[in-house]
Amino acid sequence: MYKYIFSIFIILFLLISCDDIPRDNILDPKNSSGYCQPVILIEAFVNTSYPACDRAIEALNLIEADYGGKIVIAEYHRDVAGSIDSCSYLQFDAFHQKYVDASSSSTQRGIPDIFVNGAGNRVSGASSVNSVRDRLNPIISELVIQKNEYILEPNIQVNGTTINASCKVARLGNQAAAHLRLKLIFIKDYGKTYLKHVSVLPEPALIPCVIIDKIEVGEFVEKKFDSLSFTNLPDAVIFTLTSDDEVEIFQTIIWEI
Amino acid sequence: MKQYLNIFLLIVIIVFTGCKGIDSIFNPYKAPELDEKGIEVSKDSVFPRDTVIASIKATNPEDGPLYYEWSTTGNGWFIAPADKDTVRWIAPLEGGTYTITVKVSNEEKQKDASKDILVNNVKEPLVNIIKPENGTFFIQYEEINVEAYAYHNNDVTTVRLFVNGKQYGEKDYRGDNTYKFKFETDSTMVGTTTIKVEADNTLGKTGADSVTINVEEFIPGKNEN
Repeated sequence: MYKYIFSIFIILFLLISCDDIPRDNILDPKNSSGYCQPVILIEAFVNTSYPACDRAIEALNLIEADYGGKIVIAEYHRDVAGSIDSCSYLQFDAFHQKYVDASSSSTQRGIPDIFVNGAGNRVSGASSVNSVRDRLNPIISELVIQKNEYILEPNIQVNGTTINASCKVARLGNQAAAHLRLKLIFIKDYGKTYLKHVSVLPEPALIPCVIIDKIEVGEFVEKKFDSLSFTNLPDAVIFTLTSDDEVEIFQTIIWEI
Repeated sequence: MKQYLNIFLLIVIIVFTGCKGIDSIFNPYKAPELDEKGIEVSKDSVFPRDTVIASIKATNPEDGPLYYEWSTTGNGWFIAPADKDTVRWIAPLEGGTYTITVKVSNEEKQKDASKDILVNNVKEPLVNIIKPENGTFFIQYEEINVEAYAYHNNDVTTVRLFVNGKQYGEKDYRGDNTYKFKFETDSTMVGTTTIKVEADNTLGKTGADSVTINVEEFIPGKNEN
């Protein structure tokens, strides 16, 4: 009998005291002061045949060395007049156009064209490695110190040349979120200086993306992608959380395969 | 009889006292007469701090002296004494057109005359490129808008735009002193490019300002430009 009463007492004590557990973990979505560090996505539209693109990529490699894991680089190869790039995909043309349309700077579309965390920050052209670095540095250095409200927890399962990807997404700070998209970018490192972050597509060629209608306050959602097949497996998968129109990037994480 | 004498005396008094009023109606007091040449000056186009001798020929149709009162626009001034028919005016530092005026008066009336004197500022026109700012980045084939302020006391006549030493445009004088040009960058401008704006004034003096911009090599995509 006493044992039974004691058990009830313990359960009641736990239930009452549960509310008092402080949510002091900043990665707890229910913590109203929660936040995490951002990872900045740098997307570069390039073509292997032009020295200007080599300069831009060299600058990105240097910036990667400067910022380490705080940035992630994806290079989208595009065909330009008179120069077909073996790493190009038609999908990247439309994707580039979407960024240019959303950009507040020049309406011209060409290469090299670099975007930082979406269309909002654009660095076009390259007359020297330093000129690219000098323009990118102030943008990145400002973004990396900002607090981020989203946390991504990806999971990848590789089966032969097939990838199954999923990701948990939560908004920090005890806030809800809506109208988001989760996009995958596949990166191939060809082991050459100018081909380290080449974006590749699965078969059929598409940029995988899922819609996140809503994330409830203090909750997370888990999104699964369809199985993705590759001729050659990529070396890394970038998960990036974007606005509904995909031109603003809120958070990024990279999974090395 | 005494009564008629009083009336006669009254009439005489009225006539004598009223004479002046009648005279002023038929012979009004005249203003000074100025020579038709007006103010004569030793030079009507001078440099800052030059001395200009100015004189006015005037006669007084009435008895009595003439009085001269000289004045000037702007920051020029007269060397004392400045109340004679001939004065010395010192040109101000700022260029431009100044007016000297003389009021000539006698006891009751006055007339005035004016003369314009051009002061030529020996300084070059002031030129300031407002857009683009020094160090701005542009891409190849991008159209660049250049805006410059050019001013001179003696008016700017022509403003020219140069890009890396090659002339890209020319504008005539504008009242708001703001001159706008545009040009498209090309492959020859990739790297550091110098934009220079020159302004000439009426004296043939030339002022200039320049900025350096960066033009980034940019290759249009397929079917794009």
